Amino acid sequence: MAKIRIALCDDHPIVLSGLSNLIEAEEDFELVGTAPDGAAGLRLILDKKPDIAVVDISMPMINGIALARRLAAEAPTVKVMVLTLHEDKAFLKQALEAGVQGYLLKRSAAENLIEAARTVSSGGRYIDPAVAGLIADDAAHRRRRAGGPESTLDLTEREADVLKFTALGHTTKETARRLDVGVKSVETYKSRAMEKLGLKTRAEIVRFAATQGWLAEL
Amino acid sequence: MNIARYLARIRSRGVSIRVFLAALVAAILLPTLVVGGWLTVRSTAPERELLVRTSQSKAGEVVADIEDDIAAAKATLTALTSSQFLENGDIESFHRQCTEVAKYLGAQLALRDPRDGRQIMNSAVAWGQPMSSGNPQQALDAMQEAIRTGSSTVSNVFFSPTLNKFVINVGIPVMRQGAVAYFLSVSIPLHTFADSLQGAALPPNWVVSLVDADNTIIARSDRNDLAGTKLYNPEVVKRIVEDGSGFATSRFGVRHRWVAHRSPSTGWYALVGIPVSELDAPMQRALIAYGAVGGTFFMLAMALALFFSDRVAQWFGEMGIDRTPTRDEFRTLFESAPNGVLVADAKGLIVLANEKLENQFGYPLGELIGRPVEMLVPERFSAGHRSERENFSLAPEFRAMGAGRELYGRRKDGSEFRIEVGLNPIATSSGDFIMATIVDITARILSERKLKTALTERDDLRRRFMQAQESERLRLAHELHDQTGQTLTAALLELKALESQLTDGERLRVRALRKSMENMGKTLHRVAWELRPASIDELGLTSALANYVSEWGSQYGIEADFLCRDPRLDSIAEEKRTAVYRIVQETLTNVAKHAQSATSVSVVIDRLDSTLRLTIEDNGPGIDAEAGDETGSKSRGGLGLAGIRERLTLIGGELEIESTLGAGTTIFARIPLDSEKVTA
Repeated sequence: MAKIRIALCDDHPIVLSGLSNLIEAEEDFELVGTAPDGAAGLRLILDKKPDIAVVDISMPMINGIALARRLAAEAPTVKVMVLTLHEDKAFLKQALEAGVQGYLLKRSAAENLIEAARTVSSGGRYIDPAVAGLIADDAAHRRRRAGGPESTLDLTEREADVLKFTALGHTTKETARRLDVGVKSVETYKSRAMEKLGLKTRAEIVRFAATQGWLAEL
Repeated sequence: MNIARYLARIRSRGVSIRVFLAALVAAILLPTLVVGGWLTVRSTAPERELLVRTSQSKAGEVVADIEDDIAAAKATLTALTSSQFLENGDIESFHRQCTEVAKYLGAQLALRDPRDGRQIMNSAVAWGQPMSSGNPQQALDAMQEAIRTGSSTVSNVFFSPTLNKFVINVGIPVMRQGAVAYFLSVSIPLHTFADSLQGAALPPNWVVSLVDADNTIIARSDRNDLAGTKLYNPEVVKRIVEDGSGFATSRFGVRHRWVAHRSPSTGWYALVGIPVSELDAPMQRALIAYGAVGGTFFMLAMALALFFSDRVAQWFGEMGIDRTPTRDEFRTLFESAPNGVLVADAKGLIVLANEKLENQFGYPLGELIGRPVEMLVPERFSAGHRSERENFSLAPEFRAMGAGRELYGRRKDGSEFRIEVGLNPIATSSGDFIMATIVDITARILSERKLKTALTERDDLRRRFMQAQESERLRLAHELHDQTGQTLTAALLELKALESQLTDGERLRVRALRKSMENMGKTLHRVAWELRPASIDELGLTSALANYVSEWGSQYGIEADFLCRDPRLDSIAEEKRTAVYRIVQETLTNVAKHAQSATSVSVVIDRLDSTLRLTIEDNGPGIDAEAGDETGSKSRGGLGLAGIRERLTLIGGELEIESTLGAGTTIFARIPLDSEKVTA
């Protein structure tokens, strides 16, 4: 059985050596090389074509996500796994968009790196359990939003106007002045329209407005 | 009058309100006094009439007396004609009889031959004595008339040589057998009439004169010596006789008003004269009295007018009655104006300048009058000033001069100072003028500059403070996250490697240690993230915000929606990027603290032209936006909003808050990206 070939990329020497030790301790793993920054890492990986490239996100020269994008294009056979201190969903999202197969937090690396590497190696995707919850929330959110309204047929002209001005970023006062009605009326029209369309927040109003082409001027 | 001279005189002489008020009083009083005088003169007319009527009745009395005398004389003559001596031709006896009658009468009786007028008998000549042969023409005329008419006649005045006196004759024809046989006449000396004139009891200075048809004075009350003389001015008397009355000046220079009355039986006239001075006396007396009273009254009114003139103006002011200022007040106002004021004519010549202005520009009193206003303008501007002044004259309006530009004044010594000029066109019937108010703003400019500097410094300090705070956070976050995080990771890996060399029991303890170190890493991350998320700098603001909003929502269980419609949000300047992130962070913190009942929050970012618009809405309980806005209280809207406002102010942004109690709060932040250099 062929060993799983791994390349390591981290700008922190102690972390790098710790990771190396961890991998070398495993029988079925082979460390093909380490690099202290993104640029060196790119050269190394393109040269050795390992099965898995474990890269840090915060690195000098080329950061881990950029590196993952380059590799996806230039060495599609290499599976990229990011190892990072960042627990932000923002980073996770970016990493997934860059095409990484694994997202592992450094603090759980000692415990989970080997398991993650095996999962990725066998074609799976590994997301650190600590951040996996975030992506689940987000997905649920997106699903909820997907069922939004599509038509304004149910709206009166005034309700549509109020919704439009609200989406354009006007204050209630400004909207009231433009439509020549009272502030209270604007609030009433707005809440009625939102109820009809099932919109809950201003952001949803703006999204809906965008689908209606109301925001062309923005 | 030229208004320029008028205005200049206000200053140079200061005509008093007294003159105006006095003139007013005079204008009212003088016609009144004239009318009063006229009425006074009119009121004396009845008295004058009374005098005239009295003179007329006196004349009538005199004529009546004369008529009586003549009638008495005629009666005597008639009685004598029937004397038996005359009937018998006994002339001697008749002479005797006549002599007695004549004595009784105090007159002379004469009997004449009607054919030649020869005297047959004369009571004044003893019987047998020769009689005067000379017959005065007047006596003969009267005789001829009596013979012709067959009735008695009265002669004009003549000198009787027999009596050696002026006399008149009253004669009667004596008829015998149908013919005139004799002519009997009585000669009455004129003094007889003078006596009867005296009896008329005229007021002193009045004159009564008796004149015969031949203009000979029979008697005159004041001058007996004139009896028998001709009138001094018969033509005038003739006119008076015709008119019944008239004025004449006597040979003694006294002017009288005469009234004439004719005696029908004699053809004489009684003339009664009142000296004009006496006739006019009542009017003159009244006028003198009126003049004295009226004059006194007038003087008093003028004195009061002058005395109260100043106070009247003052009282008007105190009573709040609108009035134009008096010249004195105008002058005081003009001079005490807090700023320099000048008036220039259409040609730009100064016609009036107050002392303040002269002080401002360092000119001695009055030296600016008549000089062009350009001498107050620095030479480099004077040509431009001239043309602008001409433009202003074409379309005058109230306005500030040189709006938006810095204006300078030039002192006499050539030094310059910053001024502000208000222009005020004055259109008068004598031409157009411009009033300019000039304020020396040197001190204001200085303090404005100081204030501006201070404000700029303050904002700089705040900005530097925030930047320092931000960079400190960044440094801390970096230290905690990267440095400490990496070290922790290394330590964890080391422990993991160590585990293989340990016994099972030891391995369990190390594993527990690793667990707590992992938790420590998690905490470190959290702290660092809150200080400043690495994603702002590494992934951009949009991702960082999306993440923050989502994390915040998970943490507080509030549905939090983030929408960014500005694809260039990541490229705004570092300072604004931080501000936007912090504003969202602070607003959501506020919501978490104060609007826990909110179930949804949305953050929308878009860009309209070059304004970045950040709208954060919650459906919480709402705040009183008006009250909570700037009070700085610890309630919602207090510290949180103040901090947000401060951040916005430092980057030139604005904040607007709309809130409905029970329905939520919306915060509108507007950030200008104008002078923005895109940081790629």
